[in-house]
Amino acid sequence: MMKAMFSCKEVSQIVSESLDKKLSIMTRVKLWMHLGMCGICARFRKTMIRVDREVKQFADEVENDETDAIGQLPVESRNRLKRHLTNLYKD
Amino acid sequence: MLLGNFVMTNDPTSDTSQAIDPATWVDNHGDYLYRYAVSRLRDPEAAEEVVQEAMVGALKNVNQYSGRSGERAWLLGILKLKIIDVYRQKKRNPSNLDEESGNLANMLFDRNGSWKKEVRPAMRQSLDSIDREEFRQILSECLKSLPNRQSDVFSLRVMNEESAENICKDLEITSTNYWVLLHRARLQLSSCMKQRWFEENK
Repeated sequence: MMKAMFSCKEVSQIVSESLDKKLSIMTRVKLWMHLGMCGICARFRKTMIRVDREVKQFADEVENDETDAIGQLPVESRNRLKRHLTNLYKD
Repeated sequence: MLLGNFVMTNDPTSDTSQAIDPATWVDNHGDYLYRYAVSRLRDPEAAEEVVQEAMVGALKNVNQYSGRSGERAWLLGILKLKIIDVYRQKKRNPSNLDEESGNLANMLFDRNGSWKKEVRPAMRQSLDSIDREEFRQILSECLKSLPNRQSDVFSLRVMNEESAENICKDLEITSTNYWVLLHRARLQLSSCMKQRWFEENK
């Protein structure tokens, strides 16, 4: 690939950075030049963006108590913890 | 007694409006806190442990708790601090940074930084059409394969939307390491997603 352009490896890093901070205009131009020519990187970028989005969405559901996908505190652990806390409190 | 300090101020018989029953914390918030901890630590045993630590810690500082409505938020705040403590534990991150999937980039890219021929068919997969449920199922498998330190940085950044500055401070890592870890986590997750999807649909 031409020297003036990013490699695919560099692009993967820059796409990751773009999820956290604003890229310079020059970097954006070089990024989009690459993505326009490289279907693999264009699709990889979309996947990276979606992974972040889905993870965030799931984290929000957990925090808002909207999912039980993870399961429950195991019964044994629950009972042990209750006893433990009750004893601590009594002391 | 280690816990003597709260007994005086929180004697349940002295003030009924302040009476607490820590066993109800387990019933009311145990599952919630456990799910939160598993989502951040990806380790059910460590999650059970940290929930216990959070509740014991809460009990020790129960005099700082103000008002029933915020009980869950209060416990969650304590749990979050305990999770950071777990992230910092040496036993969670036994390997050093260079050993952690440092080879992933070498597996994916050739010397010129182009996608290697053998990974192209998988990396070319578009995952746009996968529905959320299936996407999440594959994603949860891929998250399990992340080294802990990458997973922790990624969780704090993407799940909690913490600032880079706070994450570096909490995990005691340099800014350079932070960016490396975050990028590796994303590279690993996305390539793993594509690889799995490709193999399932061969």
